[in-house]
Amino acid sequence: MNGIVACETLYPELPRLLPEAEVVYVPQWYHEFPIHTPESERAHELLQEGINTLEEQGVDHVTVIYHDPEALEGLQTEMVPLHVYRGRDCIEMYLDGKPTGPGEERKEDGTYYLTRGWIDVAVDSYKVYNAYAGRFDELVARFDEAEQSVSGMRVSWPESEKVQQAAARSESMRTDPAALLRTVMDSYRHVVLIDTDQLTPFHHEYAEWVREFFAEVIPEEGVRDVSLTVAEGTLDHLEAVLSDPETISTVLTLDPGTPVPQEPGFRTGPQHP
Amino acid sequence: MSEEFVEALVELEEKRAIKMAEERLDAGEDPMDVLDDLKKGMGIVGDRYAADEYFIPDLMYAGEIIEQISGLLQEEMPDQESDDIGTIVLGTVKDDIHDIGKDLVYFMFDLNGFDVVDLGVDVQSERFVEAVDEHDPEIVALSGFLTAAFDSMKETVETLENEGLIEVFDEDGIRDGRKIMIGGGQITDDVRNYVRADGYETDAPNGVTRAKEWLGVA
Repeated sequence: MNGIVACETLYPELPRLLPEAEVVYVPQWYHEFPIHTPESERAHELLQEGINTLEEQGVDHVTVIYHDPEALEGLQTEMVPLHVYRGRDCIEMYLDGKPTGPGEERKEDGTYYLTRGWIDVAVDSYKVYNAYAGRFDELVARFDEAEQSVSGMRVSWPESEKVQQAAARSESMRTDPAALLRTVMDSYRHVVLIDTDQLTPFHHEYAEWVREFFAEVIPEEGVRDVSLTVAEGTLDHLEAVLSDPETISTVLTLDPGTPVPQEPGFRTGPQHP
Repeated sequence: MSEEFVEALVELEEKRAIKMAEERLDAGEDPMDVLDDLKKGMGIVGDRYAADEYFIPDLMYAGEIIEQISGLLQEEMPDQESDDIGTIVLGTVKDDIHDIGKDLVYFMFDLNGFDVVDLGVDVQSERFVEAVDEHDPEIVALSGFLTAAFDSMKETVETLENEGLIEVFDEDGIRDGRKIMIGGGQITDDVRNYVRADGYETDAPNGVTRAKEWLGVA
């Protein structure tokens, strides 16, 4: 039996690819950037707890997919092999095509990517803005409505402590909430909604709200052009990691009792990915 | 000290904190006392960020609150010096967008008679070069909150050295002429050494003291 510990944003796709696997999800916001800086200690605890849980359930091996090298360091299994994905993040994993970025990224500059999982469970700047702006309850209600009509939809971003704190602060704000996000979000000119055959009308609607947010709310100088496109995503990378991890160069396979080593060149402390 | 005011700052209760600052100043309280509380509150905000209790929008929010209260204080505080005693080029280095400490530094240096050229945040080393060339400052102050900033600070210092805008250290680790000061959330003497800065400070008033010492006006 396969055991997987993964970023919660992968929840729509993992059961399709490995319906028999036991999966433990870890919230996205512990390794989100740029609104957060990685909470690697907390993520590490949750990842290790997930590994322990799966071993107790009797899985044959555990695969960890969570893009935070510092959180991965030191993880270990006791009884079964451990496969640790050390490739790109949850967005890059769905993108095909030739890498073009300086770090060999497939993501385009100035582009904000959304997936079904990202919309449903992730903390993003649009949700944070709404929380500070006093519209947390309104946005949660929209998601609740969608959850009623979409089978299997999982919505967890309202549980983020930071988002709840932001909502609590909205009453005492006189600063424009957009000012709190402008510096980190001002460079986005395109929104891309990645389609892995999991999108519903709600997700298309949400992507348009995000586009409007970047076009009309973030710019200080007035409305700017921001595009929205829907791009077909690939599950090939994810499927390869799950089905044959030992053959994938970005997967480190370790024997039981062997901790994940520090990733070369990685630095501790709050940082950029 | 007003614990209630500090609490309002720490909890980022903007309206309440600003109202309390206004009331204290209207009541004739010494603005320096309000400033002391502002520094204390923002220090705790920084600690909460370091402990992962606050995230980046919270720091931005704190920066907005500092700016507004600093503005109130500046109206009440006479300039400490009538003539500029020196010029400082100040900025948060590349890959770091935090201005929480930088804005307090700006406020304190400006109040103490320095001409401060604020380059903002996420400043590339080339921009520092342009500014130093243009304004001929006595001091270049590099701010950085993230550990990622350390390499950016180092790169900035190296670029300034390569452009001949600052001297390299002599064999005793002393730099003649224009000085580099660094500050931020996790700065230590090891970081100062790594970056090759002349000094580091962990709060704005000490930064002013050191700057004055360097200029011989302490």
